[in-house]
Amino acid sequence: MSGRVTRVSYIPGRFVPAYRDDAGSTNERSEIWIDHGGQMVVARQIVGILARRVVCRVQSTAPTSAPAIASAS
Amino acid sequence: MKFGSRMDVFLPPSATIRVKVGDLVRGGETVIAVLHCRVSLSPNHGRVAIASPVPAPRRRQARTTVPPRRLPAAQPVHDGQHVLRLRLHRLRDARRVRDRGALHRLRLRARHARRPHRAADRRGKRVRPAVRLARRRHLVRDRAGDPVVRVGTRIRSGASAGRRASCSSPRAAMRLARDSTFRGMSGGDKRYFVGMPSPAAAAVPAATVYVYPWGLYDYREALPALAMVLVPAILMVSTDPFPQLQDAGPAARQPYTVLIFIAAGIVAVATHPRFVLVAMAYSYLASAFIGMAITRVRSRGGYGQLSDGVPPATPTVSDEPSARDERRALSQSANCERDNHRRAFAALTADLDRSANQLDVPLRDGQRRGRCRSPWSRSTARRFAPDRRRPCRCRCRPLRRRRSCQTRAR
Repeated sequence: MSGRVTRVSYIPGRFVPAYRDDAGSTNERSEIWIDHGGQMVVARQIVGILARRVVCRVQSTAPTSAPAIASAS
Repeated sequence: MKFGSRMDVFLPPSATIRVKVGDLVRGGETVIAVLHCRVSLSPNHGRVAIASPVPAPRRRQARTTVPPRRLPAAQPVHDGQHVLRLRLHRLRDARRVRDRGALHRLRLRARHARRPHRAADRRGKRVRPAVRLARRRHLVRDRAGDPVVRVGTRIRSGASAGRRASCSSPRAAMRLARDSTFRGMSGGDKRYFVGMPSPAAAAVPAATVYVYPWGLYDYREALPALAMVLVPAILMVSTDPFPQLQDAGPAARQPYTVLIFIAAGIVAVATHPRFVLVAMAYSYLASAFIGMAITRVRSRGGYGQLSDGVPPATPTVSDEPSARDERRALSQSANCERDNHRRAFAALTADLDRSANQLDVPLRDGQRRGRCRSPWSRSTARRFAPDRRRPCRCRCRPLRRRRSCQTRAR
């Protein structure tokens, strides 16, 4: 997909295992908000119990294309 | 994506998901979803999705299981087994589809339906009703459909009585565990063997001979050796609890500690095999006696009547009964039988209310053992009460002492 990264956020949090439901709201995570022609697509990287850092190499207002360049390490 | 992390992708509601649960997806290759253009080229044409002006982000996970569906409307609640089973089914359904609202409502309803007299029953609040429902249902009957509570305080371990079962007295628990051990089931108290385990019993003479490999030529010297052989042998067939070392008290909760202990034990055995092996074998032997002594001291109050090691005896009818005596004996017998069932069931439920694997839980102030006051249990006890023709197996007592006999379930 292509679009425009409107917002990149980083939220520190806990390190509960990522398979749990509440990991999406309590763990350390980073969100990439991509504006795809008016439609918003959000990719949220969530750390797990082992991989504990979010590395996001895209920045806001940068047009992006597939794949969005980001990884959790 | 690195190991153990995850990525949630939030898509507009109009997007068409192209993956299903269980698919393997690769970043940059797999098409997860297709986004439809918000501004369509020709309005109202064909399958162009019309998005809401501000599309709320909708959560799409590849791992989402069954989409939650609503349960059908609740049935009216009456008391009794049928509704109980229905409720359990509904609980299971609600768990399956993860309908949290339904779960909550069912739990509330179970609590209210089963506890009309809540002020009289303080214990019930602490355990979640759903758990109690399930547990109690499993325990009341075994696989063959026989009630677990039988005449007298004999408590059988049914197949589904399972591993959480505990009983009214340590002795009954041991019997239960032994019973299940003999049947090759996993039941009873996991922390204890019933009787000395045979490897430990074998270790005692083995370690002794290892330390003292010379012969004995005098019978006076041989007497301790005889005791050394006989004591573990008797303990093996006894019903005394022997601790299982896999759950060695509070230290077992810290795995590092256990690891250090195991390492230290190996080192000790390797360096001083004679003394350490003897010490291990005999300390395990002694642990049973120490445990028995502790149990006896702890439960000295109120241990007397029913669980003092003798199974409930048959009614003591005098040798030459007159008609009146006979009648009284019969009525006592019926009374005691009823009390026995009630007591056995009450003891079972009361013990279930406590955490399952504890044997000697001291009573709190004002708490009485036995006598479950829940109307549900009482009716159930009545229903499971057994055939009345069998003779009463409890010790019949004069009527004025029946009350004390009744309130002391242990």
